[in-house]
Amino acid sequence: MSLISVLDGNTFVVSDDRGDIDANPSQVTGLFSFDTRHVSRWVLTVDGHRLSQLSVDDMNYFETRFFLVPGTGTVYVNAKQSVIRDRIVCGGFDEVVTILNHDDRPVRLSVRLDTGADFADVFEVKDEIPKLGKHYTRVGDDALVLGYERDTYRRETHISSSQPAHVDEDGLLFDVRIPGHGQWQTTLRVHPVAIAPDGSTILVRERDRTGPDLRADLDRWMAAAPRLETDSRSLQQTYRCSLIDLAALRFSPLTSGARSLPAAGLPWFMTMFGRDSIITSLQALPFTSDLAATTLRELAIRQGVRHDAFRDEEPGRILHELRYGELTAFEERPHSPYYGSADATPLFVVLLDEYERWTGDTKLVRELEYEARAALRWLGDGYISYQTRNPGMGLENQCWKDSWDSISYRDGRLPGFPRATCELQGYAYDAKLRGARLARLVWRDHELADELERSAKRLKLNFNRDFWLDDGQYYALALDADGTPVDALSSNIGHLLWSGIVNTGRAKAIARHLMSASLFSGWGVRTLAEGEHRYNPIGYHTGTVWPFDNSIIAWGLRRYGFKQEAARIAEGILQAADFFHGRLPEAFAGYERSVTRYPVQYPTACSPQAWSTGAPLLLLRTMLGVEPIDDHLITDPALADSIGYLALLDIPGRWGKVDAFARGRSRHRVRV
Amino acid sequence: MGVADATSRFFADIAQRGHEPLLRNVEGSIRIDVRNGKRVEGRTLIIDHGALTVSDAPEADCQVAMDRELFNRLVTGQTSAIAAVLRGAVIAKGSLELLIQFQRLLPGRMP
Repeated sequence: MSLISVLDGNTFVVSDDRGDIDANPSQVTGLFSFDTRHVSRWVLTVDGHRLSQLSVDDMNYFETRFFLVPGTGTVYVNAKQSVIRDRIVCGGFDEVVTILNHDDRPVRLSVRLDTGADFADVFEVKDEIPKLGKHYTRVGDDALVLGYERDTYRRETHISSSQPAHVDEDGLLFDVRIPGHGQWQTTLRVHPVAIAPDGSTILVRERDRTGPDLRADLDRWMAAAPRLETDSRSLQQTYRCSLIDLAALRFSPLTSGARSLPAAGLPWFMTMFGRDSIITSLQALPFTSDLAATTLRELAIRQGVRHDAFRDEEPGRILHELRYGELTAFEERPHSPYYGSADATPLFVVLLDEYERWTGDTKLVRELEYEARAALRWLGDGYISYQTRNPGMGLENQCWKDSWDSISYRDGRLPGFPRATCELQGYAYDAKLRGARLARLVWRDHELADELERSAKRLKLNFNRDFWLDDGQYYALALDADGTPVDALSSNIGHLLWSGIVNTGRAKAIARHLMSASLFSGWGVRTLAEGEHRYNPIGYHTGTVWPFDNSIIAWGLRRYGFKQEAARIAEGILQAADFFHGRLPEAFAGYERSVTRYPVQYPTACSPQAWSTGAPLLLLRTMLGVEPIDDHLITDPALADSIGYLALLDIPGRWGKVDAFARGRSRHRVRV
Repeated sequence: MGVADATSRFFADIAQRGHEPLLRNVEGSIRIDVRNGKRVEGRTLIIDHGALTVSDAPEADCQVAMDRELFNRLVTGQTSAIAAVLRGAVIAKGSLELLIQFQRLLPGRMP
């Protein structure tokens, strides 16, 4: 059965396609708010029968309408009543239940809503950890309170109905009489609450947004985005879907007021992640710069300032993940926030510079000078490597390929710790050069700029000596603890092009590898090359194709002048998007394209996922070849054969708004 | 050491810093009340673009209350202020951002 989600930031409802929630370990449904499940049971019955779905209308990411009839199990449903459930997320969620009587005669129905709340932390939903506190319920007039407390920690779910109901501890019962051709309706309101010991509520937003607010906000968001004109209908659909999903994934940590940043993905990652929020903001820069500004600010105020092994915190380090659930509250998990990411820190500097190049907002660069300098100091002068200091709970792999077996030798052996993966060195190289630019331009510190440039030069020199594999003609995936190159062929080499750390003479060999049959599946570049010992076309980081990874690789190919190769990757990923109705999943299988003919979704992939949503945006940028240079936007397009015409109108930036055009084949240069 | 002593000493140390570059973009005040049995001892930290002063002003943009044991754990880096708010061990009113900014002044937990 397919799952239906509605969301607004980190409040979201996942149900089955009847609108019911009946959570179990294998099916993650419920109302979640601040990483806590506030409803785990929400089942509607009429005269004791579950309902059957006729259709679902996904109206907006925050509202859905379910059309249902009583009864299940029959091939042919001929019901005399139908049921409509209108659900909208606002603070918690509101659900309007309407029952239509299609008969001439009046009808009396027993309508019941079974409710329950397990108050599971999102981490517990995945790991099935038993609860340490106790549950309680309070029955009121047409209202029910479900609660959970553990010491001073207290969370409640308030459920109320606009129509009279018989309320018991397990739900609400309605005695419904409907005249012939009449209807009955009630509005159910579900509100999650976090309560401090003095009775005050915590985790409260200034104002819960209502339906009209959310609709107006989405209209504004869509209207503000550049307009795409193209002969490719599928690309048009993907673009629209990306913009809407990006709007859906906007998340406001409690400190940002109304401003928002991209959360990483539904359902597991509706929170701030250093890496994901930064990459998505980078991908979206030609379309909106507000996400980048908020991401930079919010990461800056939570930048590491001390050494703390539990959180893997270090001075200057940018956070990995922020959570609000029970396990974080009791410090049984280190996510308040957790800092175990080796790439968020250099990428923070990369985003700050790229943001300035698009917007000219030197004020923010000045505002974040201290944090940017601290981030640059964290990079140090040698290679970036990682090893968690919290072996029980910290992340083993602190790069984007963060599963346990993602970093391996060709023969499958796993290297020791600390590990220095190659793309981290690329990011650091890029961060130093960009930091030098900002130091000169905004901070007026030429000494620091010179020092950073010298450090970057040394890093590039050493990197090209220590990571280069002469036999294979590519860069090692990582250096082992003792400095031995970890020799697997991986997509990471594409990120090196993006960062500019590849010696010019070697770029051609890298591009050739990326487009070879062992890495390029026909849809995109695989995370790990076919032929490597751990290669598995459905291995999370060992053979699947990640759209975000490919968008960065395409950007890298453009940087070194491989326009047609970049266009081929853009074409493959965008054609795959068409099979997913414009919504790219986190990852899909690495099977050869000619074998499966359609991209096979990775089994438990998150969707929508922020940096997959951002991938088509970055691919549009790479196809158009738009690049900010001083106060101008330069266009240098290269399209794949399947796209005849592409225009992006009103691209916002320091130049005001400009248009970029591209035609297939002709490849002429356009200046705007 | 009494609650008054511990609280006073902590705030005296903070005030001695005079200027804290980490908080150079911050303007606001945070009131911290520490409970020890029936006694409550509080101070207000005023942050003006990194300049730190301590006062007895009862009003502040962010008001936090906790017991002495938690306060000691907080200022020695043994617990996180935000985690403590989430579990109700610290009661916070007003701007949470100021509490996060305040926490930047505190040390890490000892290894």
